[in-house]
Amino acid sequence: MNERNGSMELAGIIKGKKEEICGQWHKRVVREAERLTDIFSERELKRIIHDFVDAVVHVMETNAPGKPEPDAVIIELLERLSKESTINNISPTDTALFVFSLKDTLFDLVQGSLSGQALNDAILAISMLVDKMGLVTFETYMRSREGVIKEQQKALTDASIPVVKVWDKVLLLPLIGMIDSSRTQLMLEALLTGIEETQSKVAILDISGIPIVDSLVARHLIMTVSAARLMGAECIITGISSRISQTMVNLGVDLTGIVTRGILADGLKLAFELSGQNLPKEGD
Amino acid sequence: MSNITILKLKDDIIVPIQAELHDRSAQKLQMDILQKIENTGAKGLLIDISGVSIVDSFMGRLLGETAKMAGLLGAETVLVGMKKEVVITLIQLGMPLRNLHTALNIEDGLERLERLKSRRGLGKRQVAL
Repeated sequence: MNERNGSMELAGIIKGKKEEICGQWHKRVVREAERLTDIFSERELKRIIHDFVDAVVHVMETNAPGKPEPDAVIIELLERLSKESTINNISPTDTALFVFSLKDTLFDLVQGSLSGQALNDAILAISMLVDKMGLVTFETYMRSREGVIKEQQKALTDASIPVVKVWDKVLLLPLIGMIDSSRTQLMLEALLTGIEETQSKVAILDISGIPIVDSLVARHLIMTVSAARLMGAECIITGISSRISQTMVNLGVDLTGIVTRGILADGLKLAFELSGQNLPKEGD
Repeated sequence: MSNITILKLKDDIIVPIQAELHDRSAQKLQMDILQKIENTGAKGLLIDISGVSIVDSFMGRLLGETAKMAGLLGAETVLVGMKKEVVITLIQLGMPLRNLHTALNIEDGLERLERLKSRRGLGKRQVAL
């Protein structure tokens, strides 16, 4: 009962001196988390601070004594703030500093108006609440960062496997970047769909854009070639540089049974032969 | 159990499979094909599986074995019209069916068959591509 009164009392104090707190906090934010002032105008920042103080009072009034938890309103405010900061490339430290400067502001306040056990309880309650708020900002930051990474990954895989029809019955897949299992799956599907649609007899896999060919990448390539063959199309692997040929042999990568050529031009010539088409003569 | 038509075209045998095969009917089909080769003395076998969208390891093995058996009877085998779902399944099952000849469609398959036969010294010689 006593504690309950304590947190109510604290809420009352904060409410009573709201304008003072907002002013103090704003000063601190400008001093400690100055980068925030780059993205928010003074009025915006003051409004955010006002909203936060209101929300904090609400939490102090309603929550279980001694255990203040950030409620939905505070979490939403924090999330909005962190997201805004992430978009504007503000480090999470600045956002956290913003939140933590509330702690010092409130400490100053209660030290002036409470004493003894009541002061202790108030400091404890404030610490708990503000620490939890700090954690929320970090979590939100991480989440929005993860979202960005996922989006970029998706963009990368979506744009990564073009299947180009270079001639009648000849497909070309320029492979760029690392070839892992998930990308092999995409490549396989793209290639098979391409073969099915165009009824191509030959597919050229150009690997000059793959930085490293280790045994895993080779296995993926072999898998792709086998798949195309099952469908009834031949595969030619081109773009094997001297360095890659060395690594492949040194690693013991076995490409027997797979047609390879050094450069794409040679691969194209072979593709014309294999698909039973005459080479376009020079000057045609 | 649906019967699958087995056609004879000159000295080739064409088997268009247009329905999903169960284990039992697949085995019966293998038997029928081999008997047909035996009876007609066909030199080429073309299996069109464009109507099949489910192939398991049993079917994969059966197809490979049928080709080997036909080879023993003196006939070359070409498998045509494999769907991409089927291809992906077979690859994931680790059955690339390396010793099987394949083609995109019946037309290409017959061409391929002619080439294979001429390589064996059978049938009409064709200009190699």
